[in-house]
Amino acid sequence: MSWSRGEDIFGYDENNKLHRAVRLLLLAAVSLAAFILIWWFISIIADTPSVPSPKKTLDALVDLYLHGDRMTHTSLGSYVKSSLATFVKGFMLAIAVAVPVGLILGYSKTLRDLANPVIEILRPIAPIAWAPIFIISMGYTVGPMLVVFVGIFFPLLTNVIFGVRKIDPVWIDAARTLGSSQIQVFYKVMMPSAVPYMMNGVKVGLGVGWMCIVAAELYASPLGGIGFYLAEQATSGYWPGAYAALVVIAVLGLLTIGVADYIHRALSKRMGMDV
Amino acid sequence: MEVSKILVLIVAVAVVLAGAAAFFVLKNDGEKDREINLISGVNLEGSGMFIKSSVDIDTMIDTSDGVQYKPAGWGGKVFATPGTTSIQHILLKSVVEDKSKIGLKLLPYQVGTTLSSDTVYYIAPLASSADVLSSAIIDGGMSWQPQLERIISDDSGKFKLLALTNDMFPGHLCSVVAGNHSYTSAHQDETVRFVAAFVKATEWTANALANPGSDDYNKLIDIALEVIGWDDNERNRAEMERSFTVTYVFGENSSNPLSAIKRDIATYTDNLYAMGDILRSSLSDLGFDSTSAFVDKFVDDSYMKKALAANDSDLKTGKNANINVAVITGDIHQIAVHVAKALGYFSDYGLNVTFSYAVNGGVVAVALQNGDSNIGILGSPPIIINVINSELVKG
Repeated sequence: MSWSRGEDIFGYDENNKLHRAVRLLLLAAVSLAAFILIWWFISIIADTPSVPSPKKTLDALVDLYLHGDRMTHTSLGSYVKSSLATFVKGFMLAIAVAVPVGLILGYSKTLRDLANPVIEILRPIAPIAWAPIFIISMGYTVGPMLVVFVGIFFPLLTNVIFGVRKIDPVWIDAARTLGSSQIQVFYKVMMPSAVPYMMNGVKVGLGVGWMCIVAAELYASPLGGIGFYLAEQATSGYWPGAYAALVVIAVLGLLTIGVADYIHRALSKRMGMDV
Repeated sequence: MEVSKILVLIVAVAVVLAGAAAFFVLKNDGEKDREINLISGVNLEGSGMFIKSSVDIDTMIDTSDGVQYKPAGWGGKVFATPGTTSIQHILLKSVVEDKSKIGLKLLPYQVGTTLSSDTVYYIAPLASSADVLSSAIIDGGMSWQPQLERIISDDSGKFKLLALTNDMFPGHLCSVVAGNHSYTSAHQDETVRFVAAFVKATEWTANALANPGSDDYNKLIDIALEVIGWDDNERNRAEMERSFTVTYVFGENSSNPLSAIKRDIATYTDNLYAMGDILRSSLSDLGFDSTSAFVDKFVDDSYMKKALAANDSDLKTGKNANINVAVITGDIHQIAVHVAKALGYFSDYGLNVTFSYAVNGGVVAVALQNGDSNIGILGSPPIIINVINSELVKG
């Protein structure tokens, strides 16, 4: 009787789609319940206002949802919309720049060797470190967008380069044998083949991007956004409100990464690649 | 893994968790001491509002008989404040939302906001003169000294003085000294010595300002330039001298030294409740049946009484101690604590005082709460807001 093989226990059949879904759902429920219990436990041990219980946080979250931010009379929807708007702009810019640059650098060894020193110098710099510089020098509209851009750009770029380099040379040879031009090889073989890797970069970048947008909002209050709400609540000593903001950030991050993961799987499946 | 093993593991984890929870709950049979108390006053007044040079001040205020406000001149303007719990922000909010004064809404400015004439907008935190001067969005703001003086004296001529808070809110209580109760109660002698040195420095500062051109006055300007980080040159000295629109008072030299501060704190508390939704816990949640009961517990004048009654030579015999004080950066409201250090008053009383710098009062309040700082100097509203929202004083 084992859980890993699982054909016997509780009549579980690993080949049954419904059984697998129920199993995943149950495990997720247990995991979340354990997380909340541990959180509750820590709030008792810590016994400090800055670690509110899950119940107090839930109350603050419900209050935020129903009444908005009571200090600024701003709705939760407005904060989320503001955060998402900055996030999407930075994300689109990262896609627009990182994908073509990654394809070109993946294709050309000379250009890759030329660009590598610069990439390796800039890549380790935490994107959050750029926040005050971009926001002060570029303003509240462009600055935060660039912070998100930097956060997503490098994971995306390195994955696209990797994806291009992983292409089976036989595919390229076959395309050329069939009369494809250099440009046709580029956009009919290399681009589609790099898509699953690109999506992997997008997934990693999305997580980093959320960290960046929250950091940017801490610096740039006119952006509004859920990061501003978090800072405001912490400064006024209302910690359940600050934790409610964390929950909102977590949910938004989960949703965006979930969508990216779905697209990643769908594309990989369509292209016959294992995920 | 066998199911039986998993079940045993789950039970074992549950027993450990439950046991640990019971241990900590029983161990914490008394409440942890997270109380924060106000132990001294610091200053009255000393902030002000600036406005774009292109704005006609007469469209906003009339100063022929006190300060009268003209709502039409305020609507649709964007103002910077040091933070949503700062005294400057609360003062701005009180005057904007008061129907007998301006009577408009005060809302946060967000990128893309369409400005409405029935609303005054704010950006917070935006406090330092450098940040204010580089902002392309704001029409004006409220700041503390000497940031205010630097903003209106900048060569760009971007901003001018609208009004001092001394004129808008005459005699208003500004900064206070707050102590982490777990520290002050366990180190009463050290706290008394700190307060005594602070009182001495406050009196020295007030006397120096009353005698412009004296050696003490020049020394005060030297200390202020050093603390704020301005080069010592003619222009900066003149700016710093103009910045001292601050009245330094620790309290009153009587048997009830903090009575005026208690009255002002009670007024602030009532006003903050009246503004709605800033204070998230009611006084009854904290176990008080009235504002005065809350203030009596929150404002602890025992250290001040002992400090005022103490003999100077006795204060010098105490054992050496380290005290960390959280202060707001770039602020001369708090100059007395720096004077006490620079003139050796703290070291005379055996205290090695170090400073932790914060961008606004809210951050000072956090340093007091988490115990990083033993004592903090901050505006009255941020300490009241934090104490009530985090329920740090209970009846």
